[in-house]
Amino acid sequence: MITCDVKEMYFSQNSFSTYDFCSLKFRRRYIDGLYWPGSWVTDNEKREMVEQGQLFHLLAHRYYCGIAMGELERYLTEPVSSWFKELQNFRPLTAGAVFLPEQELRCHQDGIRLVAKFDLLMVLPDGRAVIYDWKTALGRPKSQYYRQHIQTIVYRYLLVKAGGFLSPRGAFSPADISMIYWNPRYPRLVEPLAYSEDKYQRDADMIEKKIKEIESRDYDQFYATGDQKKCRHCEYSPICHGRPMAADLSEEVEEELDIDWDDIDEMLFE
Amino acid sequence: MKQVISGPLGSGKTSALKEKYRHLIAGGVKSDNILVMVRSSLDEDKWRKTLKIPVSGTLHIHTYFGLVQNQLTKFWPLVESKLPGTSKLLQPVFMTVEASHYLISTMVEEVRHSGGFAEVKSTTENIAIQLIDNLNQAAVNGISLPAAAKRLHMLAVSSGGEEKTAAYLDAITVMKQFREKCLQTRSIDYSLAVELFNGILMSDCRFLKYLKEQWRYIIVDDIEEMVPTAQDLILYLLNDAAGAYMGYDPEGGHTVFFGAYPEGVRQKILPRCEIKELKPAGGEQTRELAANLVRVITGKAREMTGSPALKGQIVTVLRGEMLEKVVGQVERLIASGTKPKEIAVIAPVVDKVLEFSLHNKLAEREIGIANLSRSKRLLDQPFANAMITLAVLANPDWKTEINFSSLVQTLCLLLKTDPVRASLLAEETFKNDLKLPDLDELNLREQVGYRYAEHYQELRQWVERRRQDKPDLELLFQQAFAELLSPLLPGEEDLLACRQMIDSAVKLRRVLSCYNDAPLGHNFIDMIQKGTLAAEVLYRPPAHRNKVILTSPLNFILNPYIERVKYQFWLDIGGNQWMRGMAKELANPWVLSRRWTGHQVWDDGVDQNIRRQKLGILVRALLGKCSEGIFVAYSEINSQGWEQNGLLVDVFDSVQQGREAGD
Repeated sequence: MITCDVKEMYFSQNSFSTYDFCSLKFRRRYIDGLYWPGSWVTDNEKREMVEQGQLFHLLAHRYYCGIAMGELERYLTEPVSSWFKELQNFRPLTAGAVFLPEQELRCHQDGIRLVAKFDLLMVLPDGRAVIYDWKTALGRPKSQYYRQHIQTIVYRYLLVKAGGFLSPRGAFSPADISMIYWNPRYPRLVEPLAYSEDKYQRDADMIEKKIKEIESRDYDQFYATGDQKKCRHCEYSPICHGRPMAADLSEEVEEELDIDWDDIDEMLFE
Repeated sequence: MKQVISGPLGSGKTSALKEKYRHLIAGGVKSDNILVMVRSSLDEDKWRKTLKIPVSGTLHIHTYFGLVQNQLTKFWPLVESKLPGTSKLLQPVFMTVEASHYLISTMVEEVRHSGGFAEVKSTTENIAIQLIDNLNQAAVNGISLPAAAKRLHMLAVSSGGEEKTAAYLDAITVMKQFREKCLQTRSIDYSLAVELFNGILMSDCRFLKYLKEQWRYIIVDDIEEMVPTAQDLILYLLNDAAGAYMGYDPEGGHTVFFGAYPEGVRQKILPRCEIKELKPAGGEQTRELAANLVRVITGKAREMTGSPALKGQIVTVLRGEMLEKVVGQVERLIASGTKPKEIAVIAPVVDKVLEFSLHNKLAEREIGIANLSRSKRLLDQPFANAMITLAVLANPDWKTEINFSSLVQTLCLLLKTDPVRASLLAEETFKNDLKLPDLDELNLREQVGYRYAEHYQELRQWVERRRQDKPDLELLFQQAFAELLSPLLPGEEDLLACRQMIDSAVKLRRVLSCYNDAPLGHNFIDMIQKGTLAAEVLYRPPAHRNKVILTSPLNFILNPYIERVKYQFWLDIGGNQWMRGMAKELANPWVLSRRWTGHQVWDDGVDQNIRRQKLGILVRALLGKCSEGIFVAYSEINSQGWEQNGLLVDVFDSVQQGREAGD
């Protein structure tokens, strides 16, 4: 394990949301490097959901890379089999667009150090781009929730700020960009989240301030949240409170606590 | 352009390669089209952290094996379509080293039960390691398993009698059995991953087309440490690459034991590239000392004159005295202005005694020391030991044994009591078939002390509840951590050990789930108790900590986070571990390499020659990361009471004689 200097680290949507959730949790995970992998889920049902979500992401990656499933398609079981069919109907791999699955973007300039990995980036010949993010959680996607979500903020901002080399015109303007969260459990629910110059400026300010705020803290100034409900469902609960993490997440709590097993940013720990 | 940047350790090759990377990006090349290959995951980490490019896409920075795993996962449908058997999987399951070790150990054990490996001295676990080494060596050299079996058989016939041949035949049987099982279950160990990558993907035109289109530029650091199949991949990419930049150390080759093949670089890669030479950085005197030492080590000179870079020799009868003198010298250096982080203590084996003694002796002088070696067993970590002990206490049906001191240590830790009380409780527990006894039934409350007795009863209840509920091992570990260990305010290393324990259990469970009949619980405990699992090292760059570095020679040389130091102390130079050979009882990387012609005979002369060459390379590289000089130290008798008379003692004796002659 290598511990991390906060002044060198790249921030991600997950690290920001972890910081907002509890700054001590941020410290444990991203500075101390105490990363508790998602695969440590002991509840069998939850474990199965995590594995299904991961498999779906892998199949999507292969599909948009043009790697045919071949005879393996016969070995797909439900629900992933249906999810995969829905994905091909929803966003088929068609000519005319550039599909960039698992596309990573990094930025290290003007005091901003950011990284994101898009499940899929589709770039059209006219210079527009759509960021897709696959969700497989049970909950019905709520566009109002995602509209203000830090993931939306970071992904769209970063594509404008650092993704110009992927555009046929050499740069993306905010108006070129939209983002779609898509869950194969609700294949008909598609609400593109458009972007604008105003939002871009607002996002830039917010991200810059957040990075500065995190960097300005001394190691022992990453305080624990006062919200016991958050602690109850936190994987570091054993360290902070000597109690195991509670597994009984209701849908509502899960959304509120922003726990999404699809989005464990393992790339930061590779 | 295809360029090799050549220079010794510390000459700035990696910095130059990073600069090339930045230059490519600044010139409009996409990071997605640049493949960077590095030697280890630590190198990978440092590359990622230090590139600092304004904007980029995906950074494809990989070790060879990391690249192999990624590509197998991505292109698994292509691989699976060419594999035999009907148990198709949607994605491969990669085995950790511990998992392969565990599984192959069970196979070795079965063969032993039926009379196999009769004359082999190595333990079952050691045999397993040697067989894994054979499989890996063959794979990274592109030698098929049948061909490897043939070579090993020839080696056995030429170098030993019937017993040796029989042992090798048993080894080959287990290796084949293991490979079949891996293929059957699609659980992929290191060797099979490399074989599938080279045998299937590297002969599939769709994959080859992808490779060429994807990576138009390649950058390779430490190319001399790359295994032959990695070099094959590099050669393939070189054909059509728009640019290639490779760092090469002509004095390298430290990981030959793990398959490095510098000869291949010299034969096939250097002739195809422009060579840019870098000068060694500083340390003229240390370089001269290195050159002289290498001459004596390799037998090209019989003695050498003294050198200003040889700062002192510490010779004592007993090891304890030697350590005392080393610490005294460290203290003097620090008193005269050297920072602790500018001093490295280097020993071929960093054992617990060495670590403990140096730590205590230096602590008395308020000097910190950081052990950066990777030789610690996970079981030696008190929190990890407590988790194992609790798992055994909670699962009597496993019939797994624990040793007395493990239980004492666990009780000391959990009850915060002293070893005397903990021993008393441990004794009673052993008498009670590893069931924590009721203190009142034994009238022990007073003896144990009322405060501790209360803690003990809570612990007893905790274990009893697990005996009844029987949670699976992962949950039990998490509960033990959450409810018993974390309230003890564990330090960073303790937390890391607990995390590693849980993580390893999760990973082994994944592999064993492919083997339907193998339960996780006691198998995992077995694995830990046999020392299969080494503790990860909690690494903070010492520059931030200002501590004396304690590590092994190879880690000092290869760890990218360990910078050049002013002074080095080479300890235990009388020990033969400085001159480790390559061959083991049932493994021989030399024979399973591309440098073996088939006509060569493996004998003691070859072995000794290789040992001397390796030592020469090691010594030169150590001094390459040293600016002022070295102290060498040895005791005539080592910590086990054996007399020490390794080659390095003779070498440094010759320095002294030379100096005397010069005086």
